[in-house]
Amino acid sequence: MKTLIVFLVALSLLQNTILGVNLVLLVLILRSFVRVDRSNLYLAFSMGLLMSHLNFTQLGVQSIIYLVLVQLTQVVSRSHLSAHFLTVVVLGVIGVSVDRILASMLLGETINIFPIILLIEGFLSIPIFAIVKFWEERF
Amino acid sequence: MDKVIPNLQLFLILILISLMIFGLDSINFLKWPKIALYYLTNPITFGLYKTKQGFERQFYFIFAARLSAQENKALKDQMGELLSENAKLRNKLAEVEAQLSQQQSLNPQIFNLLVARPIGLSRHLKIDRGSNDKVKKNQAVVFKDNLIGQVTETSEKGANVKLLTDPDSKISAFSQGLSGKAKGVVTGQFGQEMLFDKILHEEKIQAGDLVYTEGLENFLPRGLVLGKVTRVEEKENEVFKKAILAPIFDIRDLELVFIIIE
Repeated sequence: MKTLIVFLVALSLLQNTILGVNLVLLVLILRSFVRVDRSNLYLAFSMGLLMSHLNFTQLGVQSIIYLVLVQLTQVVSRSHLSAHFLTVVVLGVIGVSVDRILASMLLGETINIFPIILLIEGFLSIPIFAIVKFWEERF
Repeated sequence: MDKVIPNLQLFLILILISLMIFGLDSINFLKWPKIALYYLTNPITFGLYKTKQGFERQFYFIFAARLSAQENKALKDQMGELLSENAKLRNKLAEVEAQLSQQQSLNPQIFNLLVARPIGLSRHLKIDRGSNDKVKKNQAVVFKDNLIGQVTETSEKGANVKLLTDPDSKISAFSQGLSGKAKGVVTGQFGQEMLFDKILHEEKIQAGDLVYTEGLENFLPRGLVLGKVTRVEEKENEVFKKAILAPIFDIRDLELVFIIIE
C-alpha cells in the first residue's frame, strides 16, 4: 500500500508538470475495477486533495469527483459488464472525461476536452490495467 | 444496499469531508496549511518542469539539426546549380572579352580572323576548328597581337597548332627595346622557353625587350609578339649571340585563340 501511495504521489507530480494525461485517475479507476476495497476510497479522497492542491484549485472538488468515479467503478466491477475486456477502456475514457467536465463545471470554467488526449488515455487504460492487475495479484 | 454499493458509509463520510474541506477552502480557512504545503510541492514541480524543458530543448535541438541538415542539402544543390550557371556565364564573358580585345589588337578589316577554342594540349595545341571552317595548314594562330603558333595538321573538325616552344618552330624575328634593335631567328625549346638565335654581336638586346615577327614567312604578318627576353647569352668566341625568350601568355590560360584565315 505504501508503495502504491508513493507511486500515486509521484504520478500526480508528473501529471501536473510533464504529462498532460490523467494517469492518477486512470490508476484509481482501474484499481477499483480490479479490487473492490475501502482503500480505493481513501486513495481517491487523498489523491483528489493532492491534485486540487497541485492544480491550484479549490480543495475538495477533485476529491468529490474521484470518490464518485471510484465508487461507480466499484459498482460496475460487480456487474456482468466487468466480464468484457474492453470495459476498462470505456471506464477509463468515461472517467477522465467526466472528471474534466465536472471539474470545469464546478469551477465555473469552459469545458475543454481534447479528443487526442482522450484517445491516448483510452489506449493507456489497457497497459495500466494489466500492470495494476499483475500488482494486485502478485502483492 | 452494501452489496450493490460497496462501502457506502465510508463513501458518504468522505464525500461529506470533501464538501467540508471545499467549504472551508472557499472561506480561506485552509490558507496557511496550503501555503505550508506549497513550500514542499512547488520546488518539486518546478524541478520537474525544468527537467521537462531541458528534455524539450534537447528534442527540439535534434529536430532543428535534422531540419538544418535537410535545408543545408537543398542549399548545396542550389549552390551547385548556381556555380555551374556562373561558370557557363564566366566562360561566355571571357569569350566575348577575348573577341573584343582581339578586334582592338588586330584590325578585323585587314585580318580575317576565325575564333577557335583550345580543346587539348600536348606537344601541339588542339583547336576545335578544322578544314570545314576553312582552316588550312601553315595558317597563323594568334591571341591579341601575340603569335601562338602555326597550324600543322587539319581534320574536318579540328586542327593541331605547332607552338612557338616546339623545336620544329623557326621564325625570323626582331627585338625592339630601349637599347636598340636586333634581328635573328626564334626557335622553340622543349618546355616553356624559346631561343632567339643568330643575333649579331653589334646588335643591342637586353632582358625585358619584346621580340616580334619579322614577317618574312608567307603565313605571318609582321609585328606579332613572340615573347619577352629573359636573359642574353653572349660569348666572345661565338659568331652570334643568343637570348632566351619567355612567352607573354600561358597557353593553358587561354579560353579562345584566333586563326588568321587571310
